[in-house]
Amino acid sequence: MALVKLSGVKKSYKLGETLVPALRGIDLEIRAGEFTSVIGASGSGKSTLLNLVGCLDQPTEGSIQISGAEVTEMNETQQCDLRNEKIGFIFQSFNLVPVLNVWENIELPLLVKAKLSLDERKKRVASVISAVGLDSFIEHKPDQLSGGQRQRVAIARALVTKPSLVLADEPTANLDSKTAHMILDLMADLNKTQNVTFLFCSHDEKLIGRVGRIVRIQDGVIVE
Amino acid sequence: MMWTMAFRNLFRNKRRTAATGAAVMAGFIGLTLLGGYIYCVERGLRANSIYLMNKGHVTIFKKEGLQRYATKPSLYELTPADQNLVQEQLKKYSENIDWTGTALTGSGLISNGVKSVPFMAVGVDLQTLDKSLTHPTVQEWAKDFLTQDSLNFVKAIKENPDSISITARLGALISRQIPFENLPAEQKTVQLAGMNLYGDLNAVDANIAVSHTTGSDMMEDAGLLAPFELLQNLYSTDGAHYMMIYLKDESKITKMVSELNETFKNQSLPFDAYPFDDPGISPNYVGSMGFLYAMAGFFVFLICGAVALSIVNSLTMGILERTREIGTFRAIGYMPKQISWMMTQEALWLCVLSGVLGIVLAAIIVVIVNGLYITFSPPGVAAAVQFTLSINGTLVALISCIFLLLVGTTSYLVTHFKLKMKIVDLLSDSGA
Amino acid sequence: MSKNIVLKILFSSFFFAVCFAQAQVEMELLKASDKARGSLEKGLTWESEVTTVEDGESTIRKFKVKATGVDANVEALEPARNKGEIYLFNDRTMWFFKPSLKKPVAISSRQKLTGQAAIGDIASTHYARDYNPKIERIEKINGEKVYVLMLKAKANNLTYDKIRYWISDVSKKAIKAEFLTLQGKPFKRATLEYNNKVSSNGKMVDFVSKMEIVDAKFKNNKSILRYINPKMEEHNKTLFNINNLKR
Repeated sequence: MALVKLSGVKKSYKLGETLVPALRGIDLEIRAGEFTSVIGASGSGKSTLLNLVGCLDQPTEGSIQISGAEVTEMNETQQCDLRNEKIGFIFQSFNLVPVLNVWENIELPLLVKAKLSLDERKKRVASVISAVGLDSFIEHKPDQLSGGQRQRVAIARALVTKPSLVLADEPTANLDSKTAHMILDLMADLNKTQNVTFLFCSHDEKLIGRVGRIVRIQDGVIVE
Repeated sequence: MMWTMAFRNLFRNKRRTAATGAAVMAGFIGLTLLGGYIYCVERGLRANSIYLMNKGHVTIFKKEGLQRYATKPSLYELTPADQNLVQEQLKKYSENIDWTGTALTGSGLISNGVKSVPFMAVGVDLQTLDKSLTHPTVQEWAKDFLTQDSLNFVKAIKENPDSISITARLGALISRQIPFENLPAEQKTVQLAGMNLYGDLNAVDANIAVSHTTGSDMMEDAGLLAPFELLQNLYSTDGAHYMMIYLKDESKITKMVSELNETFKNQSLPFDAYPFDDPGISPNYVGSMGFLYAMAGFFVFLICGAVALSIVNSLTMGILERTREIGTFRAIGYMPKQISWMMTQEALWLCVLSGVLGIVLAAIIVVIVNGLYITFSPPGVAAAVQFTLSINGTLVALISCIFLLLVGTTSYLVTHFKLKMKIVDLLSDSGA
Repeated sequence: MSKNIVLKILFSSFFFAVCFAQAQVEMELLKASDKARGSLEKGLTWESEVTTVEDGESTIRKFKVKATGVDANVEALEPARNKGEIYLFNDRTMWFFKPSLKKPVAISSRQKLTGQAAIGDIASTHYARDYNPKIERIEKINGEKVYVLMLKAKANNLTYDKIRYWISDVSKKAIKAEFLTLQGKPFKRATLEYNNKVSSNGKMVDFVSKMEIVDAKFKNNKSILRYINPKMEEHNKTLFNINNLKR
């Protein structure tokens, strides 16, 4: 069964009086364990696609299923639970909380429901910090880290809830090419070792070589 | 960790936090000091009304006597038999009764042998005079209403039962200057004349012993305090105008008045009981406090409004600046109400810190102002009273609760309405 | 020009003469009426019995009045509780004294004595001295011509500020009075009778025997002053000396 299944998904935005179609009918399946990149030019609809998969927005038309559950029919609480437990997010601008240190930023998703005991929480956070190689930077605040380190914190935060799917929107856009490659390598490594499904979008064709699958999107439709 | 994060968020924009905190702190100081001042005034007026105006905590009149005694004293006086009946009913309250007293009021002329001027007299039993003038409550809250030689009045009466106390202004009207104890003996002797209960003109000799102040500017030209028996002699009666009940526990006043009136009604006894804060008993207290409470209410409304608006402004700016951060929280699974609570925690921290600082500053202001011993004469008050501030613990706790509730509610509502944006819009917003 | 001035002077003189004459008539009327109420050349003594009816209850008080000129000594006789009380009138000043007092008390003539009677009613007989009269109108009462005068107080400390006074043109005696507030509203009304006689300058003259004072609003409340056994009598000046009242 596909982890993510999109059927006839359309999304239009109202710009003044005009209706601008961002997605014109997307059919896509992502299987568990895939390391997939959505490639397309700026304005092609790749970020919109990721936002819809991550329940950050609602499609105008069509169906989106994650692990067999129809997300378009979920209420706000169900969508929050889904995002917290099943989906991890990595953003282009890292989106770390500046007043929290590395440990605290990573721990944030675990505090939404506070289901884990303190010890379990500590183990989980320590585990992902090790996985991204930031053991020596636990007490550091984001403004004390480099771009690559910040993105690693974001990756760790995305993984701390052991999600089935990690969505990354232009994760390397704000990084230099060397760091960008390092981040991509890390994501690929995590995909292999932890069997986490990655779906990320990028406009950088130079990074294509590392991904398992490429989905090309152009003018709101998948072309490849 | 959320409280920690909220605390740290206060320092993201130190200037704005300081400004908002200053507004909250100023509001806190204002309300604390205003509340403290009103508290002092209330205690002072209460002590004056109960002890120095000789009304007691509860006052008992003949039925309709409060309204009609002045026109027909013979019909509305409390005879000795009436007083005994009242004492019977008071037996069940004996545990809470400190003491009871009797008083007679009336008007007439005071003459120095050459001219006469009007007086308004209150005649009070010796026990009441003694205990009232030296009562700890009076010493603590109403000493501005005591003249230097007020406390000598009881001693003077014991030496000479015809001793009276008059106000300095009444003394001046009959050409007698304070301190009265320095007057030669023949100048201390005056005559009091008035219509007795038979409707005849009567007069008695009296001896000016000490001075006092009525506390009321209107009454200061005619105030006269006399021993109960002297006025009984003048008005040719063995009765009293009213009885006063002094309680140990003031919180029982309302219940006692209610029960007494119920008893009087059930047993067809022709008496009325009033609490000291009835407008007919203590119009000065009721009027003054009514005005102060109205003014305080107005200021509370203004201050709370200013504080609320400061919080709204601060939070709105905070949300605008942190839109993307809020979007991130939503993306990782936080519910809108959880985020509202996060922002509310920040506002509550600010409120607590401002409040603590506000209390400290208010305490400093209290010490300074009280130390300066500023006196003034409020309108309608004869004495010069000290402008006293105080900090009342209960009031501070109440103000704190109000502020926490106000700040909490305001911040929750502001964030709640502001966070109705879509997550994708929050994330794409670059912030302020 | 000079003729005009002379005419004006003559006219003014005539006008003032008429006014002066009128004022003289009014004052003479008032003086004549005072005589029948005690304003005689020698001292007078009489007993005054005051019966008061107020709210259905009746009380009686008795006084002995000794008056000479503008002074009067009024001593309470009954009831027993008031015996020995003295009201002393020195010109327009009034004092109250009782044996238990060290000094007398200065009081106002307006002070209520009993019921509708003020202290000043007991011995006040010098309206001509105390009031400026002006004839308001002339009425006919029982076929008799009666002058209605408005009396305005010359000083603040008199018993009444204004009195409307009916004086008979025939007998020159006051038969009726209305006591007015400053605003001119009557608050008491009085009627007088003259059935007493006293000897004055060898002649028997009429003297007041009864004055009935009624509340203008509550007509059932009234005080009746009866003048009993009036006679001419010389009085020692010490009787009216306030210092003799001090203990």
